[in-house]
Amino acid sequence: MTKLIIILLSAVFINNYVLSRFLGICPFLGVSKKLDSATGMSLAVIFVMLMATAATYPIQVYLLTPNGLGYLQTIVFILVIAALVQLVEIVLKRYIPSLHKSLGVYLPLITTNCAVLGVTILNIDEGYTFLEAMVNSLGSGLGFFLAMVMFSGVRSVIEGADVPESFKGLPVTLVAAAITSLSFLGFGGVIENLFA
Amino acid sequence: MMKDIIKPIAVLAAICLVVTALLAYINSVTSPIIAAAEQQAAQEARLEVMPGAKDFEPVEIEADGVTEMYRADNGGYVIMLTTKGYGGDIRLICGILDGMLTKIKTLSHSETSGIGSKVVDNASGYSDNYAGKNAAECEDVDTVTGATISSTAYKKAIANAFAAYDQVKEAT
Amino acid sequence: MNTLQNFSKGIIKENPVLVLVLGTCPTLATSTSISNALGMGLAATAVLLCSNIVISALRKVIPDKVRIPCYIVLIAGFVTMVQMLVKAFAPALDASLGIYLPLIVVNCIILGRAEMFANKNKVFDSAVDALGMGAGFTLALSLMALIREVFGNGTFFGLSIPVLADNHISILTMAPGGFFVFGLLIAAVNKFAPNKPKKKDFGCAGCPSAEICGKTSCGDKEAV
Repeated sequence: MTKLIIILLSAVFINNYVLSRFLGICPFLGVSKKLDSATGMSLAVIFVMLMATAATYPIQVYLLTPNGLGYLQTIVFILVIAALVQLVEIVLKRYIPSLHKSLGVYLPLITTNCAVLGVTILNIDEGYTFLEAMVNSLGSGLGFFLAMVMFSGVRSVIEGADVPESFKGLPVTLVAAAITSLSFLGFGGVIENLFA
Repeated sequence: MMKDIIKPIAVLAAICLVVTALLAYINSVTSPIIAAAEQQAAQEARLEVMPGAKDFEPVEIEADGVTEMYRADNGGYVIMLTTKGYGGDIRLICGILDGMLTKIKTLSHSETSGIGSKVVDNASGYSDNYAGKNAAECEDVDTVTGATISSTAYKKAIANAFAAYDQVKEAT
Repeated sequence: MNTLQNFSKGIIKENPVLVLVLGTCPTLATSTSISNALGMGLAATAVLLCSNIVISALRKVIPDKVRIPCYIVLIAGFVTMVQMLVKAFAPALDASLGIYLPLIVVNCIILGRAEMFANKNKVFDSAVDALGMGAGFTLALSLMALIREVFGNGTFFGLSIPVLADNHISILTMAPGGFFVFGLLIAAVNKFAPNKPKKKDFGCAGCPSAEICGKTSCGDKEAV
């Protein structure tokens, strides 16, 4: 149990996907302008990360590894994720239109989101059990959510700020991201020692 | 109509087949090289921490923080460890001969450069403080100022190594 | 457009990293040391070159409907090949790039060039385009790595530099430093290349995959 909590908290705070692993930077910079789009995108990411792990983990463990096909990992995972995202979109559209309305627009973007492919590959690399892999995916998704929501707050302040001409737009956003990411450095080493 | 459906599927399937076949071929060429390189790297790391040994056989063990353990033909043991540092997992390898730590070496780490790296960097020389000492003496080695978390993680890993060593010694 | 222009546009006018702002993830993550940056740049260039050539050669065969899945399969295939070759012949590079090596699959530069250039142009032109874009990516990555390694670690290609080695700014090699240096570089590009088309705000507008992921997903809230 302690191990699961450590995995969860590490994924959220220490190895935050966006701010320390640099995965999923495109949506982080692109969709974090407004709080509601940031929330929508992050919820979609959490959802797809969990689904993707649930789908790819058994494929790797029961299909690829026993047959010596480990080298097909990348190609199989990306196809599974792409197909999964399509499927989820169709199902949501058909059965839960309200959810589709709020998450649907972000789903296609997620296929090429490196955070999702990243979490599925890392789960295998780290040698997690299925439960640990799911917890890690949840934590990674929550970490993404936390970073997005925090950063959209930071950005709403920047919007009104008077910055030098050449820093307008992306540069000042990146500098703000640097400071946001700095705040996450403070979590390093804390989690493990909570339970020591 | 049929053409519209069949052609895309046929092309996609053909591409998948060709790509997979190519991958299978390249894999058959590279996998022996990869396996040999990994084996050699592992062997070199084991030899470095346990000089004088020639052959290592794996030991089955369940112990805290120990990922792999080997019995060397000179009576020593090589233990691969993992511990949580400041920036994530630190992977170490060490050798224990007659209750003394022969040498400990970092395999990979993500500690802060300039702070935690003073502990785990192989070039920093901190690991030399532990060489040739037994479990109790290792515990008395000073931590690095300013890098408490990295040092504690490091010492914990060494303690784990000795615990695993004792466990195996008792069993035999 | 002649061959030379076709090649050089990737390095300066349409530099994928500093002007089009694509492939930010590997740029930030692997620019901690110059050797990592070069390795990442070369690996991505190799994949880009292969995928551009093959996609361009097959552009009349691949039906429009399934072109994206086809591209993804091809790109993933090339990435896996590069991954296996790197593992076999440069295990140290594989260890330091880690997860970012397979993630070349989702580097938008590669899918972007396939969609924007290779499926409309001849094989030779696509190959030149790939080399130019790859060189631009590698150069931008190395430039960032140069700043981060020299000032953050006090080393150059792993060799320590006098004075700087004792007074290095470690934060530059850590995550915040990546964002910071990248921000400064783009600000510098904005400052010293004022006659290029004004850089749009970041978002899907600058992303060639916008076409792929459907206008609706990007257009509504992020329209610039």
